[in-house]
Amino acid sequence: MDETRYEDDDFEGTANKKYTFFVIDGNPAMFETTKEGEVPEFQAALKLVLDEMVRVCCSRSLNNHIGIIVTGTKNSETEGLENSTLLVPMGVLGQEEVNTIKEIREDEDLPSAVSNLTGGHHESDLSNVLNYCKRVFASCPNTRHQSVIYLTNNRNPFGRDDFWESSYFKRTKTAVTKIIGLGHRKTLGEFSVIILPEDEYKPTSKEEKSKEPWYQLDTEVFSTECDAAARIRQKITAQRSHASLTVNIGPGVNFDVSVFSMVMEAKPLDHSQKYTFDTEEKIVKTAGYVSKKAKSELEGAGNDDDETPIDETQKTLQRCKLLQEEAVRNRRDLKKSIVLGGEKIILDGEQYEFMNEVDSKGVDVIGFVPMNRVDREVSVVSSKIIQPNDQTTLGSTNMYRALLDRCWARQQAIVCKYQSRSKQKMRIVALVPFKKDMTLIEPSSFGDDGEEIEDKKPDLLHLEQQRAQVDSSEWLHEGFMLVGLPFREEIRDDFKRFEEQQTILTSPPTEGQIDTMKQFVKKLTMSYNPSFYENPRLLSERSALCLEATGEELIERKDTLEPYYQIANRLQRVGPQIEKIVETFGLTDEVKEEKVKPKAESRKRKQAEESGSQPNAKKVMTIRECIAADQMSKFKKTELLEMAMEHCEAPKSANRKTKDDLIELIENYLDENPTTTWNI
Amino acid sequence: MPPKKKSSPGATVILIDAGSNMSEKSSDNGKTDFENALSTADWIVSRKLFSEDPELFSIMSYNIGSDYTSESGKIFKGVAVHSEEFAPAKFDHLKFITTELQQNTENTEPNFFQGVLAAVHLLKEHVIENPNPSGITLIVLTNGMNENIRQENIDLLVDAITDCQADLMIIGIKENPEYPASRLAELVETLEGRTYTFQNVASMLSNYQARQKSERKFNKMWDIAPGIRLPVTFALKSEKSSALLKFKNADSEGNEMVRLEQMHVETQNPVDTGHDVKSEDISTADSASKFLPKNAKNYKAVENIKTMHGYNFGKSVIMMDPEYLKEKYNDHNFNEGQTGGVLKLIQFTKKANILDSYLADASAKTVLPSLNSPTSGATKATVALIEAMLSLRVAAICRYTFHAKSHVQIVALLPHRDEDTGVVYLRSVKLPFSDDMRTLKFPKFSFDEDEVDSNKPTVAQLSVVDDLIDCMQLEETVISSLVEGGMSDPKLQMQCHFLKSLVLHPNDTMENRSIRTNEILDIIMAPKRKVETESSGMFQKLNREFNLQPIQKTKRERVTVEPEDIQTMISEWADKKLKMSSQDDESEEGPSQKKKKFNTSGTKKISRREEVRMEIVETDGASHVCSKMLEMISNTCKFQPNGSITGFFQLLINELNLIRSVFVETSRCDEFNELLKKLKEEEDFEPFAAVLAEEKSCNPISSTEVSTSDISYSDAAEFWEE
Repeated sequence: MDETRYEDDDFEGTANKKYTFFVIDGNPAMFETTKEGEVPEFQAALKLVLDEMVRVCCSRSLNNHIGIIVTGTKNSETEGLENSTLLVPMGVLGQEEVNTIKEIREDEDLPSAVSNLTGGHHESDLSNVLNYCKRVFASCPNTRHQSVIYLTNNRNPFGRDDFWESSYFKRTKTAVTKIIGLGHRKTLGEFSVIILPEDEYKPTSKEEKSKEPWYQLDTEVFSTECDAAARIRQKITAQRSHASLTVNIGPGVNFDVSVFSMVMEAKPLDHSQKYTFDTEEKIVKTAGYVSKKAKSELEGAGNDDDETPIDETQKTLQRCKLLQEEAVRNRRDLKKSIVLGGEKIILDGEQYEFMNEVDSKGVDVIGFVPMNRVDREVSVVSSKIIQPNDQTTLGSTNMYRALLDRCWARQQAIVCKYQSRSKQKMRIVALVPFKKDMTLIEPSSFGDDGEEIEDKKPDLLHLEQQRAQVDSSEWLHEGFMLVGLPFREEIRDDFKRFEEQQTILTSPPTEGQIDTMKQFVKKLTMSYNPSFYENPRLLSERSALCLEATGEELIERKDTLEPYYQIANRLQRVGPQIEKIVETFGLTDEVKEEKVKPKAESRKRKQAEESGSQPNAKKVMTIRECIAADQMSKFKKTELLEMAMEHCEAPKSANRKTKDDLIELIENYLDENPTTTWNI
Repeated sequence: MPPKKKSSPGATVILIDAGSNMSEKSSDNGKTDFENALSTADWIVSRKLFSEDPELFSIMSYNIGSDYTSESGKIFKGVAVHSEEFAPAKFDHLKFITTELQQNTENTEPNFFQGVLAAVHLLKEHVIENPNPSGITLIVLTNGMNENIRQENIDLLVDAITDCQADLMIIGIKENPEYPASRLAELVETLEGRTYTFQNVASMLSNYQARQKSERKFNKMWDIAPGIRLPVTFALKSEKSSALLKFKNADSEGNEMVRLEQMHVETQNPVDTGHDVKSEDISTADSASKFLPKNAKNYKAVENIKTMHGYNFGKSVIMMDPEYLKEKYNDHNFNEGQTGGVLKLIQFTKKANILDSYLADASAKTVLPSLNSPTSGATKATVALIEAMLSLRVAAICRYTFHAKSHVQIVALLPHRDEDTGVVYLRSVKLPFSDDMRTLKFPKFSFDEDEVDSNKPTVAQLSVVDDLIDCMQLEETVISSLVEGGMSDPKLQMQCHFLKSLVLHPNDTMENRSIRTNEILDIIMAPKRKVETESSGMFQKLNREFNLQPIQKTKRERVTVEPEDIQTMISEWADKKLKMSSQDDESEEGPSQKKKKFNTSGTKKISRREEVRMEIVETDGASHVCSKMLEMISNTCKFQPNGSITGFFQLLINELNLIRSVFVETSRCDEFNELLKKLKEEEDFEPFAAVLAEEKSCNPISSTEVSTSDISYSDAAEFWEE
């Protein structure tokens, strides 16, 4: 409990505001359709911005301030902003701002809708816009994060190949530098460029990159780690550390780290504020502490009578009186009592605090253990990562990296005493190293990775780990992960349960039985990344709120946690394996009982999916038949991508491949896995 | 009280030898056997006390000067009984053990025989009134060095103890005891009891225990395919311990206090205007009007009024009708309502895909095949599936609801094999949803060959870290204690210790606690301290290789000031300014008069400018003026930013410009330029610096103004641009 409370700091109070300007390039090319079937880039840009606006509005925090500017306009109505139009001034978003952008985006004649606002196209100077942004940031209080995100389809607006010589580029570079800041302020400044369309060619080699003007201004512009939407989100929601601590290695050897939470439950939307239905008056809550006796007397009195409105009202009044006259409002003014060993012990607040206080803030290294001795699954704190902090101790990064390199190579974890703040619980933690490069692990510790694998194949395992990284690069960070080791009171011993299993389940399954299951498991083994599954509750809340606020279901309400067998093609995929299981384990009776319902459901789904499918796949064919008939090119890229991810363990990142690459990927996979096939 | 049908709590007699024979000193800790006996008894009772164990105790001692006469008139020589009434462990017991019980230093006839008989007598009486106890135990704390029991008495004791079905435990007899202690060891052997040395038990008893928690097991059917449901049992594996001792909120008398909430609408209308029918009823109702406190706000009951939820869409408040939410969205709950919740297979994935960083909180559970029908196909299928998952190194991802109404969750089932029993099982952990993952970005640690890597550790650095890892390898016992959950929560230990001390030695509580806290920390850090003394050279080497230098930082405290306060302060200043300017027509420099506030008198008739000039020409005056200014700005920057702070800043800027002009007049510049540099660079002044940067009205003094300045005109003009 105490551990989670302060992690919520982000939601509280006035501290830590984040300011973001979206700057959308308004040059005429943005309104043209470069590729058939795709929307003009300006519209794509608006969609990216709108999605993020909606996201921000549907979060619990009011600390994200956003402004939107379109460049290259005839009008220059805002002071200090030349030939650019301020669509949304910097501030906390609300219904009105979202609907403004939504209406523009939905307008059938986008160019004229925009030119109504902007007065038509006129060249503008990006550096002027950036300077305007910087001035706005400077005038805002509590800035902790200032960010400008520029969306454009122009790879080089600076007019010449030797752009670095142009004064326009130099001006812009200076303006960008001002926004980013020189790093000696607390504020984090960022400038990001999103080049549209997203799937345009991106240089990969450093040499090539450095020839691109935008790369000079934003080194992440060609990053392929995540898509544009995710990059925007990163820029808007970058997290600050929740503690800065000193690590003591030994006498006189200290370095500093910052602790970051990697995962934190996104809570349901706040709707604790209630209003009366008819008059929409705010309902206020008065609360306080009263003696248990007084409360039960009050409640007891009401229960004797019939529950009529007057009685309710009287009760309300009684409660109010009690609260006003007798209640202790502040919990800190209360004492704490406990009955133990025949004594009632009463502690005042000071004693209570003193009793619980341990003052040993920081991280104190106790020693090293092999990584496989740390059971990370039973960690009692949500996952955190520590990163070196050179700002308070010079050389911290150096020390941290030396530890990381050696601990990773030798697969060692560091056991420490850990306390994040003096009032927080003191814990024993393990700092578990992680680096992306598996080849750095030294052979001596290669085999005993702690994974309980039947047939130890470390090479294979490492291959799988390496592959896992491709898919989750968003969430993978090199460094020491902090694992909270449980105290005796926090962990249960399974020994008795295992013993019981051992005595009762005497006949182990046969090879054949296990093999039947393996076939089933293999068919349903797919890649995984937390971004696959959204919290259906939050999604639904956001969808409802959005519908109410904008009149449109901008967020689709769906249950992302459907079991595979409610998705027709997945169920089909394992049809034979399920039958084999039923047969092998003699489950026929049970299946008969239950078969009716799910089947009906899946049939419904199947119909729905078929009606949505496209003409050239109307006839049910297997993928192999499709390849044989040379019909692969008839699929759309998105369909191919879906198939590749669904059936061929392709990573999400495959969407950066071209259509032909995807076809090749599927064909290769089918060659390597002769038993795999699916219907289309 | 009528005897209950179920078994009553166990009954234990702790019988302490207080004879002169107990003065013998232990070679281990230098304490006498009597002291060790008391401390052992103390721990036995304390542990039961804090874990709120229902076991009943009676404390007795023997080999003392007085005799004990039972209710039935039997006399036991040299025996004392704390209380005939058996009771759960309580502080009274501890008081008796630690303060009341005194050792009898005179040589007396050995009374072991009498003591045990008395204990058995009490146990028998107890069992008659509370039949069917869950256990009967007799613990004797003695070194057995004063005994010469005749064989016939031994036989009597064997009969008596067997008769009341007590387990005999003797603590304090050395290993391989000599005569006469060996006689007692023989007695224990005959009765199939146990003997321990004081050292044995000390290591077992040295920690307080938490209350026993329930097992919390529950069954689920795991849907892996239409109609295929595998029965599994979940059991809690790890959880974050919250309050281990349950404190209640209380008033000063210790009466429990509970939270009371009242929802109401604050209306502007007086209650008796009669607009609201209900309000009218209240005001006319005789009884109710008495309840109305005099200055009370007007309360309107809301219990029976239909309400709306207010959701925030950014800054807009969107009203939602809860009934509509229920009807259309089922209150955003996707639970299909199966009793007992669900566990449904969504997909399998390679175990490597479940990264450590996904694990949200302590939610690990052990999942085993249910044992209701061990030979059924479903149970076999479960075991086969876990085996298959193990060999393919995959985890199952499932939809999970705890019961029919809870919101849906996503869990991973990870296959494991227990090393000792070979049993295969699943570990269930909660997985995050996409929104739960935080987007983080860190500087990278791995570099391509063509990139510059400025922090790359040197070979020497890596090698000394290797030494460190070798030196600080934890021993097996430490691993099982620290890493594998062997250690009890220090917080619990400290709480118990504190409470015990508060009851038994109220005056020394604070000191006791500090000692104990340090003891606990010492125990935790012991492995490191050992390395520190043994390999101090290695740490020196580390220190040399990594030149770690802390950066001194000035602490800045945040002062919270309400907007109203600032308003008042500003208006106060403004008032003063008015007064001042009426006194000495220097209205142009009015704003700077606020400085007067710090200079106390409002009667001096010199202008602020004069004042500054006078100060600056003094020795060190210039730097004094600047540091005072800096302090003022720093103080102002500590306020919570809001609208009125800008007014403040404006005043400060005026003052700053005034100082600047005096500096130029007196041909000085260094101190002032230094001041501006500080404002720009130190983060404490950030809010103010931002305003200055925005205004650009106050630049450093350039060489065109004061020739000694080393700042050029253009540099000064662009000072705030960077």
